Amino acid sequence: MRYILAAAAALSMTLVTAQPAHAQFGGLERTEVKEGYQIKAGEANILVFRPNVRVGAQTTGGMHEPNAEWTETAKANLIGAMQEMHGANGIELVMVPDQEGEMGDVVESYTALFGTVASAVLTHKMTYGNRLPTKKDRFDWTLGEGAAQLKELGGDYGLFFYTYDSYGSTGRKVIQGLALVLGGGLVPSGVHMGYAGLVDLNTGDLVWLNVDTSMGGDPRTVEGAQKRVAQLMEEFPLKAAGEPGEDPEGVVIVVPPATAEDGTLLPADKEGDEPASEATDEEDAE
Amino acid sequence: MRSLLATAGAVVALACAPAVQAGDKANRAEYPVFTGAYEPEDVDERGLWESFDEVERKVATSKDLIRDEGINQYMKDVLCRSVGDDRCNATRIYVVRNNAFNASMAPNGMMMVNSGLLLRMRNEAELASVLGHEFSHFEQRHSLQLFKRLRSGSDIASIVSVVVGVPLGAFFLLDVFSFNRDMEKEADVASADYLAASPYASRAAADIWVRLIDEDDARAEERNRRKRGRSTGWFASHPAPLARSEYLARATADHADDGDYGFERYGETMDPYLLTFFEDQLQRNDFAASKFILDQMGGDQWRPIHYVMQGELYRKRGLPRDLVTAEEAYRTAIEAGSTRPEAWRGLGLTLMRARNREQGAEALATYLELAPDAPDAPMMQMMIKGS
Repeated sequence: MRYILAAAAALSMTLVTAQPAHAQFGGLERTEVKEGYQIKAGEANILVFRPNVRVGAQTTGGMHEPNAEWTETAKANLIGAMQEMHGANGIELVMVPDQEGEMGDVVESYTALFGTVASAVLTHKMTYGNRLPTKKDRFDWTLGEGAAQLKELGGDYGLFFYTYDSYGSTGRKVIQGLALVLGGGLVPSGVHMGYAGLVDLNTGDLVWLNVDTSMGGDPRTVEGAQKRVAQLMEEFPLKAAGEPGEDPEGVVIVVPPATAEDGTLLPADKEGDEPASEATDEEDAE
Repeated sequence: MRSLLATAGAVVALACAPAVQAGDKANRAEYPVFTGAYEPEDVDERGLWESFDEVERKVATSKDLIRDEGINQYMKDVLCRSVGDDRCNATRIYVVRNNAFNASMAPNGMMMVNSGLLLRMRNEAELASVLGHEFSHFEQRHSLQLFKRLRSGSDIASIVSVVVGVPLGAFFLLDVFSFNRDMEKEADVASADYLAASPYASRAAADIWVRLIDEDDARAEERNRRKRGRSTGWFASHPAPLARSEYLARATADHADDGDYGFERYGETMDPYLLTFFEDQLQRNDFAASKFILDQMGGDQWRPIHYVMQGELYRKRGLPRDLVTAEEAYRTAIEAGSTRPEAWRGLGLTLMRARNREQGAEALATYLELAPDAPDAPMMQMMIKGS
């Protein structure tokens, strides 16, 4: 038995070089948005939970070599680019600081739950040929209403994202070239993956999820990070147009009907409907 | 033969336990020179640290952590007494509820100790030797060394594979295993040096491995398979327990048997957790080994808690004759004055299973009186009603 295991171990090591080629030659790239979903109009804060950003190099043998400097730079660049992009749409990103005690537990639990739900979507919805019959035409995953606890942190939405970059080293590229020349097949050089998801904290629903296993843009540079964020935020729900507060909260302003000099009623003109929405606008501003 | 050795070791240990207090052992060695706490240096090391800092964040919020201040402070104290006050502050210890016999050290100074290891240690000196071993992985930067070795190995492997055209390059990775074993041995030897300089009895280090062989022998007999632990295989990550017990015994021979074993301190600290840890061990469905662990723990001084564990052990295997043994064990525990609700719970469930419903319901009712807020209370109430 031991020797069988040993053989299996030896075999598994030979696979070091045989990684999926999609990493470089165009792989899975999918986006799901809850049908017709829009970010609410008016002021919208999105909580950004501690992103998982990893940047390093891919060694000749295909190992990931983590690089602390690259990772830190990339993280800062990505967050900067994200703030810029969403800021332009009137959405504020709130970075969730490390939480202590009970809230720390809640954040940790929901971060883990998001990961589980997102991978269920990836497996059962985004992987064609493996889709669940009940989910084929639907995108209705949720983290449950308990997610509303997170609103305390100062936002109505929760954004989670992950990026993983392993830049092909010179040695890796040489191997890739050698393999092509010598007929060794396609040896991928470099891995660049990412995913991001948005949760509506009022309902707990996962409203948008984007997965890309061959991302562009080098997050170690500011420009690259902008390109990366644009790809990461593909098909991000639009913000609802118009005034905030779709359901006015019962503020009724009665405008005296316009009368002619002789006391007869004149037909109401269109402006008559407007003051109500202005009033709720003021309410929201408080 | 090994069982004999283990028993002999345990007896020696017991005899020495109360004799020596911490700090006054004869021929105590000096600690090896310590270069001081260090920060990651090159790109590789900074990268590894940063990755493991993220891992540590996850670990620190894990539901599997045992967060009680008492046991955590105790672990820190033992590490400090083992490796010295200069060294011990460079690391953080996390006690994880995991029934496997293991402890690990991350490159950034995060040490994890499994509850399955704590269940198997018989005294503080044994624990000190394990913590010293893990600490030495950190001090000697073993993770970084392994990372570099793996990298160069896989580099050569892939070049050879591509040039030759068949994946023969993997052979260049084979020495990673022996490289890792060498580092484990290095850590063992360093740990022996720490122990020699500490107030602890050096002899304890080898005892762990002798007992581990015996435990696996019990398992092997039950499962009718070949006994392990005597020879080191090609692909083993660690030297075989027999080899470890032998070189540790040699390394510690000069300092043997006049240090502190800390039986009582260890026993007192672990006592509140023993039953939980043992229940976790029972989840492994590994009867012979669990019985071995219990027998070692009880030694010749069985206390009520050990009888409760014995009841759990037999009840959970649940052969018809096991129910008789289990019932007797729980009753012994109760007669000996156990106040643990688990004793009545176990007794009740055993009786129910043996179709003695009336007495079973009575025992379960006593359980609920003692532990009205138990998470399984509604289920137990249902069983009482249904009887």
